[in-house]
Amino acid sequence: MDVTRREVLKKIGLGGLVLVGGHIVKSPLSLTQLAHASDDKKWKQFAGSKIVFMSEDTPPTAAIKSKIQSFKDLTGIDIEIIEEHLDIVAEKVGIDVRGRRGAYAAYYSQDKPIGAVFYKHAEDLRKFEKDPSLPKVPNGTGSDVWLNRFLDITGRFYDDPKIAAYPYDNAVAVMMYRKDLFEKYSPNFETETGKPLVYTSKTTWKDVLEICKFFKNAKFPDVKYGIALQGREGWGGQLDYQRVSYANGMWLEWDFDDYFGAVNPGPCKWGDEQSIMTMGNYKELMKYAHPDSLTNDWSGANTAYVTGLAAMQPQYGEFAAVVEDPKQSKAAGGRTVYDLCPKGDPSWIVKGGKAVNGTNCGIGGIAINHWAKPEMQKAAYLFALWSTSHDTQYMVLKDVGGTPTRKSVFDMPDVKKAFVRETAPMKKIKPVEMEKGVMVDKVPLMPNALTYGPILKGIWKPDFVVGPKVPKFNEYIQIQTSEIHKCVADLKSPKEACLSIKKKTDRLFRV
Amino acid sequence: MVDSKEKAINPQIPTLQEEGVAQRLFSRIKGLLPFHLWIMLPTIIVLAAITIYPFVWMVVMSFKETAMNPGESDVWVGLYNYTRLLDDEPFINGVKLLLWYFLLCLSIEMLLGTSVALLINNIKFENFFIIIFIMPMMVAPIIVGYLFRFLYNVSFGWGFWLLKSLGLMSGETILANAKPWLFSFFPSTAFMAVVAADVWEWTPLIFLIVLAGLKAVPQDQLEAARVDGAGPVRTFLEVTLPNIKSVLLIALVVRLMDNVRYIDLIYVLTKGGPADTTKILPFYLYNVSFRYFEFGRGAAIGFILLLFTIFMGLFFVNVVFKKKGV
Repeated sequence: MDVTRREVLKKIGLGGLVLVGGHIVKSPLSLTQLAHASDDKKWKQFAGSKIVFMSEDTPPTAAIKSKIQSFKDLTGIDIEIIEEHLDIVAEKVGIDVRGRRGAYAAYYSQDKPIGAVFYKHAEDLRKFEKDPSLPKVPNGTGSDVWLNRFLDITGRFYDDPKIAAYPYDNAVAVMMYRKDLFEKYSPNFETETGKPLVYTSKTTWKDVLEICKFFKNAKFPDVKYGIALQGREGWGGQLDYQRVSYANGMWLEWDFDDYFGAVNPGPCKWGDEQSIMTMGNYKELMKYAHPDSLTNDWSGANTAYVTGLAAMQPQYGEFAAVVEDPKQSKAAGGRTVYDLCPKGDPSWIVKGGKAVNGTNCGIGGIAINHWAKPEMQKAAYLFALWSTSHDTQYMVLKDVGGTPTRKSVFDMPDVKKAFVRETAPMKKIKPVEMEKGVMVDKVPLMPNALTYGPILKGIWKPDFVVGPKVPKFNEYIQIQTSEIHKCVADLKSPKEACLSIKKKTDRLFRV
Repeated sequence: MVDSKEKAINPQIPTLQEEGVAQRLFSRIKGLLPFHLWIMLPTIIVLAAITIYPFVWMVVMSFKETAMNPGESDVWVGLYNYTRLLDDEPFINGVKLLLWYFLLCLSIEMLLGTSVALLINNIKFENFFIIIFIMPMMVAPIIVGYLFRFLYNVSFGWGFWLLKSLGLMSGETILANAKPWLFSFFPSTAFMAVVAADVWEWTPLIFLIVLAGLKAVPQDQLEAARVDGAGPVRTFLEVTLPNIKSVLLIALVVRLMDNVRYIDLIYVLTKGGPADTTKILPFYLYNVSFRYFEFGRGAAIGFILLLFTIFMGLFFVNVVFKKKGV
């Protein structure tokens, strides 16, 4: 945002009282302008330098990229943003840091696949926070400014006090379902089961299975499957399974604090009674889910949902932007409702464990490469500060669809209104015919905000599950998901699959 | 030639005696290697630096557990990286699948490529057909992967629809189908789908090489066969095949080496799943090295894969072809 010195002086004069009055949160935009102006030299000290930010091709990065001129104007730093699939990002960042090159001064650090593995190659951000030559942003970067412990999730690993990354991308799972289809087929469902076809935060995974069976067996013309899952080998599959396993008895592989993780996690719990039961139930869910659920990741599942093949999908909030776009989605036009992920079912839990709405996440952070030159690190830090600041997060949420991580963004009145479809600010679009006679000419201004209601409920214990943060996370999830696949494909029984995971995982961690 | 007076004036100019020594020394060095090797020496040195050094480093690394973090150092683990592979399920599974991959891809591609080359050779509009047939080869493997991913898609892929309509597959999915295709001893449906994509892309290479070989078959031999009353099959078996055996060998070895390092299609289509049924050894090697960053274990697998490639190459060159006089 361009601010002239005259405007700044005017605002200092007029806005001084506002500051004293404590309206800090209410007028963050002008405050940031002031902060920028007063720190002008600090922001501009690396003008002319060029840095590279390696990121996942995630909506917030696309949004940041489209607004990058603001950063260039503020700092004079030329930044190249490379967007890749998460696996490629992990691979390239891994090669870069293991090769001690520091080519990517800033990199996208997903909490588990990148952060938990390479956190030692990230610079401690507290060093920059203490550096008087570097600017600050309004509200600062302390742990209390982010959503529930997001700084711990992205920045803290094991017993190391260092802060390795700032929370940048908030991908929390919610349940998205087609309200129109639920209403339309409720009488059929009621005839079959004696209960209405509804989804609430009390709906359990067992209920979901029943709904999946109903849709798959009914062969309706406008929807084929009840749910689209994301069982692809790797992280997608691990998260997909975790939503079911945690919901039923809050089952975790290990007992350590999942916000911080453990370098030596000890023997895992795979193979216990609960894990075997959940494995069997997940297999059953897969049987009635969209048939590509075993190879779909989040994008694949979303494609199945927006093309109208599935009536539900557990999905990350950021996908609401696609779901609500009538040009891309049959689920747009107010047809989708967002709610908490399904709850565990008492009959799916052994030994009286607790049933919760298992909600998991992938909180992406921005980390500064330990191997980059000190000046490049500082320039990258400016980018990390700017891209995670209140103003930037609010701007990209409003204009292009970001995923904020700062509490203050969620407190903005217009963002709060956008949580609920009925009060959400809308924007006019060129009318789109979704099907014969059904036109859509308005879409939510902040579609991602429609998911914030369930997200803000789901990110607290006991519903929220964060881990497992372990140094060999990428190999562990490969072991886990390939055995789940074997079970789903009838190549192994649930017990055999769980015991095999136990054997391989314990060997991996040298137990 | 200089004498001692000139030498006194300019000491840098060698004397006759000194020149004799230098000349003898030069001829002795020159005699160490044949002339053509001297010419190639600079290139050999450069190539050695960029291939032998990494190779030696790979072998050394295979005996270590490499450090992951700053401040840590590599640990010498002896043969552990090799011995652990003996009961490493993904490794053993990867070897089995690689053999299946060789068998299916090479046999289908050789058969199809040779057949199409024979059909196209010397027909009207030959050049047009050549252009059409070699098109898949010009597409980057990653793009081929995405293309087939769409074709196999359950929601909108006509490849899926076609196979299903023809009754050539059971189940509701191709890429997520870990069940054997058609026969119970066959690999999974997903694996066969990857093979089909490989065949689509690389049959043109075999076709092109064989077609080049066919152009070199002596016309007088073909005419002699025709005059002697040999039919097309006999002409092919007695005249054409012996003449193109060497190019078939080249095609086979080229594809063999390609398959050993081929992960692109699998990366895009299945990522090794479902249930590890498409995780051929090179893909497992990629996972170990660049997803788990276990360079020591990766080096051990890479070294075994290299030995395997050399063995297979020698097998084709010496056993399959040489005995029959290629």
